[in-house]
Amino acid sequence: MDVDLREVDRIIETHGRDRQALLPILQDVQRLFRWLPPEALRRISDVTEITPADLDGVASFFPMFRDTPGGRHTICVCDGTACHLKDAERVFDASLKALDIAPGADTDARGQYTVQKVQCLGCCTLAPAVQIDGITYGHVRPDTVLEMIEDFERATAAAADEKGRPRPLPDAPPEIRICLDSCCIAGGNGRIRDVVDETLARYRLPAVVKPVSCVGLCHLLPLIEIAVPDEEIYTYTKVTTDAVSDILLRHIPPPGAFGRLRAAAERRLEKLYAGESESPVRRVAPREPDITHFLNIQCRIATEHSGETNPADLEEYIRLGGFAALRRCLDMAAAEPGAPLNGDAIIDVIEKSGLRGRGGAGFPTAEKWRIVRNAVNSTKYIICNGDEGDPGAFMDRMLLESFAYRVIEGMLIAAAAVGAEQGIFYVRSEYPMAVERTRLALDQCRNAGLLGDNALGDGRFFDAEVREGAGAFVCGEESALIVSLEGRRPSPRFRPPFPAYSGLNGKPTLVNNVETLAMVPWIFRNGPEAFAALGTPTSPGAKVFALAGKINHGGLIEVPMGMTIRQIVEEAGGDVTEGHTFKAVQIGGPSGGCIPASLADLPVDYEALTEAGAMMGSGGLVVMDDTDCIVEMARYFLEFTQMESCGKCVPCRVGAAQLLTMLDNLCAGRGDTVDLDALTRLAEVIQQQSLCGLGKTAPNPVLTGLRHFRDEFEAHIHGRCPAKKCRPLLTYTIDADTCIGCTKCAQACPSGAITATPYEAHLIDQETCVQCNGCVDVCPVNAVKVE
Amino acid sequence: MPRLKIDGREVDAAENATVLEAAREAGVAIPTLCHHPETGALTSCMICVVRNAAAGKTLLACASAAEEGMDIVTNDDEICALRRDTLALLLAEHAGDCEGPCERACPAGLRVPQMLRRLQQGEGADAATIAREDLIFPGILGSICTAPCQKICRRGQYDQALAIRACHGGAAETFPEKLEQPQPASGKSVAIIGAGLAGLAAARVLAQHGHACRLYEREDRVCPGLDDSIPDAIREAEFAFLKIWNVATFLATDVDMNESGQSESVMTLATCLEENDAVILAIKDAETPNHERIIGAREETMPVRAVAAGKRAAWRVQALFAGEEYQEKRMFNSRLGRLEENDLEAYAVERKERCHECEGQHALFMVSRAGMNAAPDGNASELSCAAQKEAARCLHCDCLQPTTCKLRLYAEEYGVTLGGKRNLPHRIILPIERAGAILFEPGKCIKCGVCIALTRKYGIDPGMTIAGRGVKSRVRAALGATLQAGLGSVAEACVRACPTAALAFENESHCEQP
Repeated sequence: MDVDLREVDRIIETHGRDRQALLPILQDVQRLFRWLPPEALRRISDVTEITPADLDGVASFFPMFRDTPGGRHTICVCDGTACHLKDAERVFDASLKALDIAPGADTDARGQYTVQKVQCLGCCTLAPAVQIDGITYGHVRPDTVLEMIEDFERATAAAADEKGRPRPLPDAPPEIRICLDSCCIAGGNGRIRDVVDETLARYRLPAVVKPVSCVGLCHLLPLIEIAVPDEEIYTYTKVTTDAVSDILLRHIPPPGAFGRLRAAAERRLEKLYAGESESPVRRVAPREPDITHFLNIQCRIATEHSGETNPADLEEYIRLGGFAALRRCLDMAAAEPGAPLNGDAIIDVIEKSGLRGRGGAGFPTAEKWRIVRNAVNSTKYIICNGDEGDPGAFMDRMLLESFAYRVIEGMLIAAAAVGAEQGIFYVRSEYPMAVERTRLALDQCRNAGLLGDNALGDGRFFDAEVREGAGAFVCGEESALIVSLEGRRPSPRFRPPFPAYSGLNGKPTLVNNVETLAMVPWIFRNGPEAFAALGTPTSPGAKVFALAGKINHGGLIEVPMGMTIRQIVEEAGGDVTEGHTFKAVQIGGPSGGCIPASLADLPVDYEALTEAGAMMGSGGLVVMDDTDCIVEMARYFLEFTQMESCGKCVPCRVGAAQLLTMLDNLCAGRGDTVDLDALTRLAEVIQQQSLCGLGKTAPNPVLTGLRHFRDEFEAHIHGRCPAKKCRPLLTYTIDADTCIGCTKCAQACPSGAITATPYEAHLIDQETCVQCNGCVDVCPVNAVKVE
Repeated sequence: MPRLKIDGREVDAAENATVLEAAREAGVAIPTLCHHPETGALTSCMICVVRNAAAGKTLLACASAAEEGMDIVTNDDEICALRRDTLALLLAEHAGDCEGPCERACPAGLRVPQMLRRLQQGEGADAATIAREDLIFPGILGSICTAPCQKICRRGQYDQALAIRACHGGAAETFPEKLEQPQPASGKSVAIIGAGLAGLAAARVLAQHGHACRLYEREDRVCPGLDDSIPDAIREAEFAFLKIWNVATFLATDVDMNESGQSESVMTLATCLEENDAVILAIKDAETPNHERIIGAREETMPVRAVAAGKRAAWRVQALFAGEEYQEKRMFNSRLGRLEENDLEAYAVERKERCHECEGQHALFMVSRAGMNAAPDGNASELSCAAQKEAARCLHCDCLQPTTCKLRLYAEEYGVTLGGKRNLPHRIILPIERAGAILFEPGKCIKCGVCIALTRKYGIDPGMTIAGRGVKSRVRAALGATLQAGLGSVAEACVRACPTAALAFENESHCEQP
């Protein structure tokens, strides 16, 4: 393909020629050409300030940048924690196979599709999830991959033809509330919304569709709520497309007698043809006990008004008390026009609330703000860290998609407190909707005068922009994030100096997590005492968790700190699947650890978790049952951190790789080569000697595993996997008494390991068996025994 | 000026000094690999870890400011263990041998790669000197050595092992030794019992150092067990030192090992001890009596082992005379080991390129060597020319800076051991790159970042960069540029700053160093 350098020049013109433009330029070039052609890179280095060394270092660092041309569409198979537990690997393999992609390649011969794994799409409750060019699919199975691709092709072929004539609407029309966050769309809400639109148009129903913020009931998708004025709110869960017209017509009568008749007739005809009597829709009136329970134990601070408000409606946000907190802060900190604000007053309130950073380490927010405030420098920055790289967490994505105004308000308050004039939202590019909605929200705020020249009153300027990350877990580390914004390889810096003293461009920089900022407005509206009253003395307030794994109700929850793990799993999560036992929770993602069921009464706060060897981390909470293997889980996380290690310091670069090799050996039946003492020592060296948080916490999954489940590690050394998860350690045999001789297993066996004579007991040849589990899946009488 | 304690001593640090600078100012050494005075702290090697006992925390000396009240401990057990384990990780990805496998395999420690480099560069006389220093009798061994070096030669994995034995044999023959005067007489004398290769090797080393040697042999000629097929010319040339340096040789003289038996007619061990300052027992199958002045040098069946035993005995005598404790020391050695098939290609590609002219010369050399043995008056220049071409086949697995590589020195100092379940290799073998006289072996690079920082500092365009991430990251010239362009005008500074021999001058080999 010819590379049109004029296009490259155009991109450079949009983003500027200084070093900081590096990442945005590369992202646009990648989007345009679907790879980074060398000619384009050379052009960039020729005409900008960016050095070839930085260009090469950055371009080769991020997996989203390709050095070979990619396909027209990209199929991203999520390999986050929840998806991994639900066999994402097989979906990945099936996708390669479905597109006939050659071994070792990632793009099909026609250049149509590139298949790749991504760390986490943040749709953990829909695991396994796949994203094709921004369209997310949930619950994908190896055998539905083709169907998914066909659906994608249909969707892209059908030009978005807007439907419906204008409908007469009453003043306060009934609302059909539907969440259109990225994972809800993937969970089916997207299609339901289309059908709702169609139905409204078809019957000219006097109602509006209102996109609302997420309620976090991911396990009940697709989900709509009908809010007719002066009536109770009805929630419908697991809605099918067929049921939509029934639901709508039940609550909203079509206008005019003729319309009602037509609707009735058509529906009768439809039913006649379809041969069904009643649609299987699950009606909840108004809210069923398990939902109520899921919702009632929650405590909405960052996610206040969830399920009620339109994420893109600034007026509504203001009507519900939005930006009141900012006004109160500006009053509190009032100073002579032209003089700097008295930020100390604001910080005192935060201090009183006891708010701690929600990014993972739990650093007191007030303290951080004070350092930046006291730094003597005319330029200060605020960065909202939305580079949520933890492969089992999606709270930052949801907060930005549903509550962007709240985060912006939090940032404005922080700006008033520390005296900053420029803010940056650093958001993962894997979250296209979060990026888009944040941008949109910023534009609306700017138009409404909430950002810009008078943002902080009396001519005090503040504005913010969105910068996209390029897919690196290490960028969540504040110093790496800053280096990356400066257009360098995102390798962490040695701290001190901390960014609060010397950050972006050497200026004092406040880096706060999305959730931290989202907590701030509530504190000012309800008072710091109210916040401090929630949670535990050292960890006040509430915390948002992404609850996933082997539980009945996965989803996004916000609960008061100090709630026990058991409460979260049993009450919010609705307990583990029937027939299985709760074994452990993995908390804090790759930096955290496994907490065994025996410690389930542990209250969730920063100190208690650290004590138990885990950590709060970003708030991923993956529940494991008796079929999940702790060693395999540790291996999975190490594989992640090893891949995400920037490679700067040797303990993390080589140590993590060595640790992974040891765990690989344990899971692959080479356990006799592993010495647990050596493994422990290596983990300790990595913990002590690594430069940044990524390396220092990388061994946590291994160390907590060893601490609470040492016997499982020992079993692997002796070639046994107690959870029967590590397939190379398993032996598959057929029970001759149970086997009915149907030969199904032999047909399914990919390696021809099963000799099957019809109507006689079949035999598995252990030498040839590749432990794929295929025979177990197809055997109609459960004759295949796994040991 | 902040005042702090370093290893218990009160130190006044300069304003804005780092802990490392303060320590160095106070004369306390802290090891560093990625530290360079021109680049600021790169914090990649993590070797400079020290503990601030006042805060109970470890910190990096190169990046931490020296602060009032610090109590720095630079090398207690915990710190040393951290450094040792971190060095082991660095070495796990350091793909290279400190000494070539051939050199390591040779019992007498022949510096094979250096010798071959000399041969390759047409400096046959220097090659012969190296061979003589290490093997004592390179000509004789050139005929009869079992050549463990060739069995392990990495080139053998690729096509055919180098004819190392033929090379040192040929060099010794073509460039005969001009025996110089030994060192001035030391006034000490040594009795050597047994004139096999071990005894003779000991005699040669000791005589060279000016010690009077008395050599006793039961048979009527020296080295009676030596293969008859060895041409007389070689034998005469290599044993010539006995006459020229006046080594007293007593043939057909049995030495009675029974200490007490003193007799006029028969030589006894006791007499030897009485008449000499030391005795070397260089005979087969004899127990060495426990006596500080009696040193054993077992005459081994494998010739090169016998030579090695003789050399070692001579060194022990030297140490005895100097009043020092003799310590047999083999430095730490990073081993690359056997390469996988695909690694081998990457490993050999540039190395092979360097000697493309010599393809096919290998067989020729073997033939010519065989001819030389039969006709000792053959054409010497032809022989050395063939040897030169054969030497050019060497892959040079060794290190160009084995005595200055900081990684090796620290590994030695902190007692790093490799292998076993504790340390798994994580190495990537990539072809060597070249910029004029500078070689870059990516496998040996520890990604310290010094060359990158230097090229950045001096504005080299395109400069060096680190590409990729994690364990797969590697240092390279940016945007596909050549190494020459990447290093630019600071190439030499980068070579000197490189803590390993990843960047090295091709000709700055340790054969030039004593």
